Amino acid sequence: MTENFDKDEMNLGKIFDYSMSNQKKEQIWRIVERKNEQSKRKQSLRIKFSLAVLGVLTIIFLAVGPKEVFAQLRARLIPNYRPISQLEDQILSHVIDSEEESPGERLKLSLLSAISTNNELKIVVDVRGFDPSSFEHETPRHFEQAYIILPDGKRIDSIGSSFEYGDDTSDFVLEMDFPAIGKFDGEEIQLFIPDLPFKENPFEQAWKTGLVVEVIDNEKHTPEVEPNFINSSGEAPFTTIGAEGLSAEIIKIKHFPAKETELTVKVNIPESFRLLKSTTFWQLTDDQGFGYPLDYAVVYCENSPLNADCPPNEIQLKFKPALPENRSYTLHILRINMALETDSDFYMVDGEPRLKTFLTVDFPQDYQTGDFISIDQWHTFGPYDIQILGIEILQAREDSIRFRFVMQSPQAVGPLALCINRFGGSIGDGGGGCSGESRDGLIPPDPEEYRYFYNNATTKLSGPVDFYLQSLIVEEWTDMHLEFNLN
Amino acid sequence: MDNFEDKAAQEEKIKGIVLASKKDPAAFFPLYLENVDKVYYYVLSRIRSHQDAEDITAEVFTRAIKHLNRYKEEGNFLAWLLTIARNLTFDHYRNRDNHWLELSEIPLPNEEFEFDLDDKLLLKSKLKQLTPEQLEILVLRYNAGLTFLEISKFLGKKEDAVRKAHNKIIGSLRSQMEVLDD
Repeated sequence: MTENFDKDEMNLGKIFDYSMSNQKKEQIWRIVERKNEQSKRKQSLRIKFSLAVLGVLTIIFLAVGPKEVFAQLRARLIPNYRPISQLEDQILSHVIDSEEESPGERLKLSLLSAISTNNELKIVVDVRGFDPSSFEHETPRHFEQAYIILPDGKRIDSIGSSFEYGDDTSDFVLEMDFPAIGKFDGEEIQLFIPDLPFKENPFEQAWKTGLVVEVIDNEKHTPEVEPNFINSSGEAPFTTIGAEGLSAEIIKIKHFPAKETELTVKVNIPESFRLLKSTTFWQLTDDQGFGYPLDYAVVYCENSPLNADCPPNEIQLKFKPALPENRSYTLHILRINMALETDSDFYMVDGEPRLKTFLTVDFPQDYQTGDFISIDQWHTFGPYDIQILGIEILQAREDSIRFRFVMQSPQAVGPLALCINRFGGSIGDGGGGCSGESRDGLIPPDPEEYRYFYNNATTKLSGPVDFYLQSLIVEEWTDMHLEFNLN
Repeated sequence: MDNFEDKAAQEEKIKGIVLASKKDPAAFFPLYLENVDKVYYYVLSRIRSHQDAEDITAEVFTRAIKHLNRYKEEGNFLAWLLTIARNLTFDHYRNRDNHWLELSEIPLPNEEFEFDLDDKLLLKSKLKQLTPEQLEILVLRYNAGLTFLEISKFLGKKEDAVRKAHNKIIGSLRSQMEVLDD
């Protein structure tokens, strides 16, 4: 067995070779075909519906007149074209379900959300309980758009709508856009849906519902959050290594139904470090088994200490569209990256800027490639310890040198980035540079593994050489789960 | 040169099928047959549930057919499929209701390989000790047959880092087997 490994690693190719039965292959292909059929049908319907909406818009264009339409467009496209009111976001609520009897159909329409901002009003309605074949018509029909009646009796027509299928083909979500309606706190408006994108209009009379306008209270929509820290259970896919003093909490949830959900996560890390805002190893899941990859979330608060709106240890995640309500969520934080706050103040020596010296190494007069200059120093940064074992000479020439620091740490720290203390990399008459060897990041670090940091100079170094500390990166593998409910 | 020509011919074949599949999804079937084993195995190695692996594999090919225009012709088609698979398994990855297979249920290693039963069981037990990330590298390398460069692009890592991680895994497996052999 071992001989086989020694002979040729490629034997692993045979070990991992796998072929499933033809029956299973056919079975999976049938699923693929079925899904493709459904997808094709949906796409075709979307195109037909879009054409229908386009038709309606063309009619509006002709009816209202090009001048007015261009004026509306300009108002929407050019910032500050018209004064923007100080209207706060409003939510329109109250109606839950309404069933509509119609020939051959028993439709159920539910109001999912209605959001009014100073720019627009968006109403989302769920429609279900119809026969999917109702959609299959040869020629697109012009649909009568939805409209609302404001408390003052004014009618406002929808300026566009779109629909998305839900879990199956007898369920779709209709999104309707209206122009901004102004502020009507506590008053009722009426929504009328006179038609739906079916083969035939399913309604004899327009579906009608009342909406009560309420100003959104962000506090009210911020659920209570109880951070819940769970230690490594031993079954987690990642190892917890020395996550000493680390914790995280969700400090704010801003939820705008059907629009967006914002989470603000505060990560508590050792004092002398700053958080690197990477969410590569973060995952959000809900109690129904759905995952919300953070690839699609926007970390919009950049890592700038100068930006007062972006506290350095907070990460803001925005989910668009909003996360579904009435579910419990778990934010899994599997890795936290942080960097040591290093001293960036420089001072001048003979007209050259220098940074604070962290370490001085006495290079011997004579050394060869492969020599090792022992240093053996321990350094502590908050809860982290790292040992500089020494310098390994990788290449020693008459006019240049390449070497690396060799370090070790029982914790999840990267190498200390130590660079020769001449600003701009100028070394005497020559130049130089320093570069780290980053960990691959896929696997938690092995305490036994060496950390390296590389330097080179186009002059031979001898005698005392000062190094400054450029950075220190820590990749903490954790197993933190933050739980919250969205009601 | 042969290799280069083989690769060019393969790319040409894929290009033809991709073009045809845009008009008729059924034309995709040869590419499906060529890749389904590897996609399924990759998914299975990550989520360890036969039923879910079948569902996800079907979804991978459904999405591939739907988004064929996003495939770049110069790329590795299998790597592209595996990227879709990887994204789908992320969603599934932390599902609490996952049924995790017992080691004996995972089709590792190939039954026709020349190892005797004890060796196979021994290797299984060693592979079980790998982290998901380590196992992923081995599956990409030895089941999917991706190069280090392709794996590095796939994982968004430096090629050198992937190579090192791979060598470390192999070295570790090798030393464990040697110790047990002794």
